[in-house]
Amino acid sequence: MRTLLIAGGLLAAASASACLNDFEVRHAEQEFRAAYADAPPDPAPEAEARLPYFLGTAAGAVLLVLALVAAGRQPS
Amino acid sequence: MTRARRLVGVAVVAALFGFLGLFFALGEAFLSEGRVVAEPAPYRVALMPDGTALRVAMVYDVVHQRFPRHGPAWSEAVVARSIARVEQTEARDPAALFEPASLEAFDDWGVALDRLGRADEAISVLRRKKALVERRWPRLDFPPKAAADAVEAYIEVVRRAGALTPAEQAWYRTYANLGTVLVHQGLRALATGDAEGRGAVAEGLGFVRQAVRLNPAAHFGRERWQLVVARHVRAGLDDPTWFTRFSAIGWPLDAPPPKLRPTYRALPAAVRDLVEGASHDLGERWTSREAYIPRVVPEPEWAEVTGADFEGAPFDEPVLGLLGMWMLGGGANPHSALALGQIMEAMEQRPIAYAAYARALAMKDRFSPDAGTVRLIEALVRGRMADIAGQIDEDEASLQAAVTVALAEGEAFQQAQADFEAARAADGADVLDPAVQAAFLAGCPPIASKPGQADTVFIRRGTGAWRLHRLVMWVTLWAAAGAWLAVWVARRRARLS
Repeated sequence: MRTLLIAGGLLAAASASACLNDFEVRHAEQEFRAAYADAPPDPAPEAEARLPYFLGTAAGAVLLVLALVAAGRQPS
Repeated sequence: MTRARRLVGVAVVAALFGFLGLFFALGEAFLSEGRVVAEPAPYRVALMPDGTALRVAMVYDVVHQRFPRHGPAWSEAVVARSIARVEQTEARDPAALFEPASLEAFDDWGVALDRLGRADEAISVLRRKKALVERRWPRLDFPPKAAADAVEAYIEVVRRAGALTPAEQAWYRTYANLGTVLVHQGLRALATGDAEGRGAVAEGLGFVRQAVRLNPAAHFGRERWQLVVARHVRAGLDDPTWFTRFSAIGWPLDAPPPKLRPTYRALPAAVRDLVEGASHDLGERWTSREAYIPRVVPEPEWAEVTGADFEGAPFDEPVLGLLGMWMLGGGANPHSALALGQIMEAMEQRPIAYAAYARALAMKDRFSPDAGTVRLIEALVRGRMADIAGQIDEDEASLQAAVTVALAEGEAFQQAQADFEAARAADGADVLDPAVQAAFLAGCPPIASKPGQADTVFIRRGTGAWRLHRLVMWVTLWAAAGAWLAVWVARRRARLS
């Protein structure tokens, strides 16, 4: 029985083992890989544009300074 | 009100509004819908720089035999050509047999014989080649032990793969081919009750280990997975219940596979750069794969008993190893089908997992000749299949029908290729001429499936994605608004008084 069990498992494994090297292997792998080459991945997402935020910050800073100037010039 | 008090008052109001602006900015960031961006899945970064990266469609196709595969006529032609080359070389100049081109003819000859099921002849041819290699390069220095640091060890392996000496190439191919053919022959012998097959298996595995030592990167690591599967099967020699407990990747059969599909919140640009070939940084390649590809980790008991050199690996490595053995080796087998089914289920590729399990069941008698063992394995696999059908709300009849149709198409394609080669060989054509293969492929629709979106991850950006520059802008604008409000109130109060 034990021999039979061993035999069954090994028979299945016989087809599982293969690292054969011949002239065809590399070609076959390249062909296989090429069959799944598709369009390149979607373009990388553009980095968030920062300029509007820098302009917004600059505008805020100018308005803030102008407000302080206006407060300083206001007659008592 | 003095100027100083006015300025302080305006500054205080501006600060308070700036503080409100801080909350506004954070709220805006967290409540915004964000946008979904598509990124290549990290496993599209191949282990080796020039290697094959996994696509899920590959698993579907291999499981359904949907790939080109040469028939016996092609292998017969390889045998005839190799014999002619060796004989011509020997007649012209026996010393030329030691040249790499002649040695490779022995490899082609032996491998083709093995593919034709003539393992005894294959061993004889490859032992003859080994004797030639021993005479030409009697001394072979194995590479020193790899560096302790994983990244450095990986870089060493990659660089070494591209710089094997002629002696190392010759020995590597000899060890790999002779080892594999010996394992094939030993396993066939054991299957017929011939206990001497054990010796051939042991000798063959020893040679394969030497091949892996010489060139661990070869064939995208397929040899490594051959050793893992062989050790799994060898463990079954000592424990008849082994195959009812574990698959060839060391996962238990009596429990659902672990989840392997992570939800990525972000992926570094390095992953995309490596996939697109914009980066060739080996360290990045290794660390990106290790950091972002889910790992297959075997049960400790399995790892201890098999002694396999496999404590865990990014999941695409065993998948590609199993696919390679299936396609370029002996074809479909239940161990590979079962392991692929588990990994695909873990990756939530449920229809493919179902198909792989169905293939394992179709070959169930090859797990063991013991009916009780087979029944137990079948019950466990059917349980997984029923779970999958429930998860995707499909009835099993339609899932099974889909497997049957796809498999029939794949088998018909491979049979057509074998018939085409046989017919051309009968006509006297050289079936090894690439033009003959091209003619066959041109005459039939492509058998490979489209990869589609299965290898893309979708990441939601925006939600919670606050950035300092956005925060500073809102704080400044709110502070400015507060300051002008304070100025306006102060002017109005001054006017009224």
